[in-house]
Formats: sequence, structure tokens, C-alpha cells
Amino acid sequence: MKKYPLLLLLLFSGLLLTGLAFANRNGVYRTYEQNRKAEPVLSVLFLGASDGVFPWSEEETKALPVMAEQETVRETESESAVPQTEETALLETEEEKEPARYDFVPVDQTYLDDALFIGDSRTQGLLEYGRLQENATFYCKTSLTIYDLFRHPKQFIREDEKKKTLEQALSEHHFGKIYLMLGINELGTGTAEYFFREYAAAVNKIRELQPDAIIFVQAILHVAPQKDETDPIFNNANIEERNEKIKTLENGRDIFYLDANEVLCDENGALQSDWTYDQVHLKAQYYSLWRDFLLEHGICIPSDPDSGASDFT
Amino acid sequence: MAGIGTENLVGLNTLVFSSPEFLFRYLPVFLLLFFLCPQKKRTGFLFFGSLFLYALAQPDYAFLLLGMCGMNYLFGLSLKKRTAQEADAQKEERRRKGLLFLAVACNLSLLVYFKLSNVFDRSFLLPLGISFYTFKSVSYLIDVYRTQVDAERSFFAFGAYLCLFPQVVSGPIMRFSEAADGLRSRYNFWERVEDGLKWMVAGLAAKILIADRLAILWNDIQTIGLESISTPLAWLGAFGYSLQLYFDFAGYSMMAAGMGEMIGLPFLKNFDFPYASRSVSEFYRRWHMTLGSWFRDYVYIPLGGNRRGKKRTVCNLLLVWLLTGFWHGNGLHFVLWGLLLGLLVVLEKLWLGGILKKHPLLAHLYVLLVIPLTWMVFALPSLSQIGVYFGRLFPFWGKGIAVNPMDFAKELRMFAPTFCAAALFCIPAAGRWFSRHKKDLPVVIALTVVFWVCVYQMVNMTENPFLYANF
Repeated sequence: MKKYPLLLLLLFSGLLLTGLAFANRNGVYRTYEQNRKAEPVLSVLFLGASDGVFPWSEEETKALPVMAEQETVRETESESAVPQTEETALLETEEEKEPARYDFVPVDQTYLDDALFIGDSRTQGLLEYGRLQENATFYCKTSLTIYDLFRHPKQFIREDEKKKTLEQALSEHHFGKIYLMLGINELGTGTAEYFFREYAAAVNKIRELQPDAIIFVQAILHVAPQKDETDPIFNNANIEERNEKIKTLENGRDIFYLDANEVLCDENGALQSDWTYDQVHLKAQYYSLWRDFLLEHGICIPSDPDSGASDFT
Repeated sequence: MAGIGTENLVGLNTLVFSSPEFLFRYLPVFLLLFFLCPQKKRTGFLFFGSLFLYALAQPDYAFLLLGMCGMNYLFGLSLKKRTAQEADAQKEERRRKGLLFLAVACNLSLLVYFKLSNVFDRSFLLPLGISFYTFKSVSYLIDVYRTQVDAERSFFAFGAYLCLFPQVVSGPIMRFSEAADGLRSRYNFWERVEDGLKWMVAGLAAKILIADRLAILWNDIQTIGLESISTPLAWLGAFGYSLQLYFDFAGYSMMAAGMGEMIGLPFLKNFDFPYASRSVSEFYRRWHMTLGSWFRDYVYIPLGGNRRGKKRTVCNLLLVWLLTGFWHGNGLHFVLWGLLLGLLVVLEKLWLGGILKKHPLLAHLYVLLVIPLTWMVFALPSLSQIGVYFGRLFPFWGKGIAVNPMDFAKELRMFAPTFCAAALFCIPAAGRWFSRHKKDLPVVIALTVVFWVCVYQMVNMTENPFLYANF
């Protein structure tokens, strides 16, 4: 030990960690195992640690499966506390009312004074470079997913030096419009159906917490051609599959679908390659196009909805 | 990073030192087999083992590497001075000179061929580490010609020198004499492993905890778009990139040197705290030292160095730096970078050097300001991008588009701890302290902890494709 302390320390700690990983391979690390083929046994310990999963963790506290493995997804689905009926119930009740439907109209920036944006790093980019900070509120965070909103609530909102979950923040404030864009980080997790169920449930919950708000569900922005052609997961076909589902939430009355890809993509429907460095995020100067698109697509609901209803065909 | 770090790496991670596969599988297995090998067979094992690891990473080019071993082994033998009579001495000299010319031309034309193929077709894959093993071959051939080393008789020993797995991808460019001494020496294996491990952990930490972290800053800057960063962020980016490059390559070199030690090679210093230099010339005597000394010994001095008057010295320096630029990668900006450094070195030799010597503080500031600016020319692949970046660094040259003045505060908040750690380890005293105390138990325990923190980062960065894809 005296002669070769580092060698022995590394050796013993390595063996210990390998032993721990091996012993728990069918326990807390079960879902990480599929990922392990090419890597050392002990790597699952570190993968787990970054999700807050440790050898002494209870199995139920496991984070979402990281791989799009059908089996694990099914498992999570069955655990799902949001029954399918909830989302369909939302849509059905909306349909029963059959009130007026509204058209998009151009609006100015003050329209967004009572707006809230919820999203991942792309929405963060809109906050930083869309020149909307003085109007709208932004609850966004890099790598935010739909699951972080209510399923495994994350405290990603910081207000008055306090960290809050979306539910807490929405209970304390009142918003007139809520813009939601989430879904790219979820591409590697679960099926499109599972994603959509969670998405619809989240919209439902937001509606519950903010009954007067107009909700804009935004299409997930596409990726640029190079990524689209090479990435087995983060490609536009996968994004579109989910957008199609998100679109079905639109009811023309208080939930609207906005697809900014119309102004940000090339003729093949991929994000303009000159407008991005990493194939995923817009460069700063192009966020204004997204903002302008939003301002072209305002919804104005008169205080008495029946009197000002416009045709929506 | 062309030329530095790893060149277009594909295939298995067999030679990526900072990958879990290498650290937990290939390296331990290699070392164990090496240890079990009888002393006499170890050189042969090094050759085949290294070639095998190379073949796992790039199967096609393993034959190229093997071919280079064979070609240069034979060239080396035929460059050996024959014991000729006085009368034939001149003839023999002519023969050897011609042969050396042919041998060097073969090596360099292969290098140029591959580099140019990559210029015309970006998808063309460069052989891993070709810049390095070509330069090793050339140094060996010239040293044999100069009778500074004996031509190696054993093919395995020469092959082992060229293929050594710690050096084959990105150097250091070890001379044959240093390697030969090491390969033949007898030593306490476990003692060398213990010492080598310390350098490996230090190098791994430099690469994973500092360089890879700062790489995020540089990526952020490009994601925002060069035309849209604030001037303070442009400067933060230039400093960040300078530190990233240093910790990436110095970290890699430390790991390579550490592994070299384990297999019996002498510890080869490739970086000597370059940011503590007082001139650009000194900076490059302390940065990638084995490349600098290669150009000095095999280009600059044979051209006459500084012994043939001022004009010739200036030409020699500019030529060396032009070649250095070309060596680092394809693209006009590398040539521009090389020439820019050449000009600075010439300027220092003719005039600036005297001033810098008299004012040490000024000299430090000059290096810390000028070197990051030259790195920007190195980093940005087109002249227009370089123009835009300098426009942001010096805003009176151009206006930004959609600049968010708060960007600097945001990025600084994220990277301040990394910058502090990086700055600390740029100070030579920190290195001296480590060398002195690396055997103390608290340091050893700290190294163990640092190692596992690195593994945590490594596993989560490389093994989970969805964690790096955080949008």
C-alpha cells in the first residue's frame, strides 16, 4: 500500500464500484443495462447518479428510461397516472360547447404583455434574442421536457430567489396567453403516443390552472438538413410525427396550433442551414423571424365571445 | 481540431484516452499482458499490441502504418554508413544523401497526398495520427543519416517505436534514441505504473474537467452566431478557447507521457506552462515542444538557422512557420495563422524582443493578449468568420447584429469556476507543487477522487447520447 498507493486505491475503488454495479444490475440499474454493451460494467453507476439513482435508491424513484426501448416504455405507460380518457375528455367537452372559433390576426408586441412562454433552450433563445423580455414572461430551461412540468415536476422557475415548479408558478400568476414549445428533448424517450398523452395531460393541467388563458401549442421546430439526414432520433420525420399529434389539440377557440417551421425552414422542410450552427438552434439574429411569426398569429377574443366571433372554416 | 488532438476519429474508442472503454478495458488489459510478457518479448508485444489497437480504430489504415514501418525500417538500414575505404567515402556520401532525399520524399509525399485528398474531399478520412508518425519517421531517417543513432536492426523494435500506442494518434513526437533507450531498459514495472498513473489522472482532469467544459463556451458562441456576440463575450470566448486548446492538448500529452512511463519510456515533456511566457517565441518553445524542436532540428538549423545573416534568418523563420501552419491542418486560415506567428517571431527577433526583456509585466500582458488573438485565426475556418470575430473583439470595426449585452454575464456565471481552475493550473508554481507533492497521501486521495469525477463526466458525456443532446 505504501509503495503503490494510487494504483491500489484506484484498483480497489474500481472493483468496489464494479461489484456494486453488478450486484444491482437487475435492480435499480435495470433500465440502464441495455445501454451497457460497449461500456464497462461500472458505467451504470455514473449514468444512474446523474439521474439521481443510487444503489440505495428505491426502484420506484427511477427517472424516466433514457433509451427508446419499447419494453421500458410500455412499463412506464402502465405506471402512468394519466389515463387516456382524461385527454379525450378535454377534447370532447370542448366540442360539446360548440361556441365561436377565431382566426389569427396580426398584433403588436404589447399583445404579449400578459403572455407566458414555456419551453426548452430554443425558447430560451427567443427570450435572449427575440427582444420580448420586456413584454412576456418566460419559464424556460435548457433540456426541459414535457415530463418536467407535472409528471416529475422540476423546480425550473426562479422567482424572487425561490425555485418553483410550474404548478406553483401558475397558481400564483395570471396569464392571458400561454405559448408552449416542448418536445425535442423527448424524442429519445418513449413512443410518440406516450409523449402525446403526457403533452395533452400537461395542456389540460395548464388549462385547469389558467382557465382564461389562450393556449398556443407550438410545433416543435425542425432540425437542419445535415442532422435530419444523419440522426436516427433527432430528425424531422420524428419531429413531424409528434407535431401531427400536437396539432390535434387545436380547437380554434382557446387552444391554437402555431407552426413557425413555415417561416424558418427551407423548401424541404428542414431548418435553414445558414441560420443555425448546431443544426438545432437558430442563430441569434433569426429569432426575430420567429417572434414576427407569433405576432402575425395573434388571437383576439372579445370580452363577449359570441358578439365578435369570426368565421373559422 | 485538425493536427492537434485527434484527427477525424472513427471506429472504436481504442485510442481515445479519455474514453471509458480505453481506461477500463484496453489499457488495463494491454498493461497486464505487457507485464506478463517475458522481458525479451516485450518490444514485439508493444509493436503488435499497438498495431492491433490502431487496427481496431482504423482497420484499413493499419496496413498503411505497417507499410510505413517496413519502408522506413529498410530505408534506415540502407542509410547505414558502410565501412568504405577513403577513396569511396565521397561516393558513399552521395549514395546516402540521395537515399535520404528519396526516403524523406516518400514520407512527406504520403503525408501531403493524404492531407490534400482531404482538402478536395472533406469526407475523405485521414489516417489517424499520420502527421505524427510521418514526422517520427523523418526524424529517425535524418538521425541515422547524421549517425546520431544506429539504424535499428530489429524490425519489431523499429515498428514498436513508430506504432507506440500512447503516441501514435497525437504525439508527442519522440525521437528514436529516447525510445530505444526506454525499450531496452530494465525497470520496476509497478513503480513506473504508479508514477505514470499520476500523470494520467492529472491529464485526464485537464482534458475532461477543464477543456471539455470550456468547449461548451466556444460552442455556445458559435450557436449564438459570431455576428451576435457582445464584445466582452468575444474576449471571454478568445480566452476560453485558448485555455481549452491548451488543457485539451497538454492534458492529452500528460496522459501519453504517463502511459509512456508505464511501458518504460522516459517522461517526455510536451508543454511547459506556455502561458507564463514573456514572448511569442518563448511561448512556442514551451508549447507542443516536440513539434517545435522537430522543426528546429530538421528544418531551421539545416537551412542555416540564424548563422547566415539577418535576411536569411527572417526567411528561415517565416518558412518554418509557414510549414508549421500547413502541418496543423488544411485550410487557408492555418497558413495565415502560421505566417502571423512567423511575423511576430521575426518582429521579436529584430526589435520587439529588447523591449519585452526590459519590461517583464508588459511582456506577460503582451503574450496573454496576442496569443488568444492568434488562436482565433487558428480556430475559425474562413477569412470572413475571422473578420466578423475581430469586428466583435474590436467593435469600432463593425457592428453586431441582434446583440444581447447580457450574454457575457450569463456565460461568465456558468464558466467562472472553470476559468479560475484553468488560470491556476497555468502557473508554473502549481506544476512544481504537484511534482513535489504527488506522492503525499492527501494528494493521492485527491487524485483518486478526481479520477472518479472524471469518469462520471466521461460516462455521462459519451455513453448516453441523450444527455449531450440537451436542447
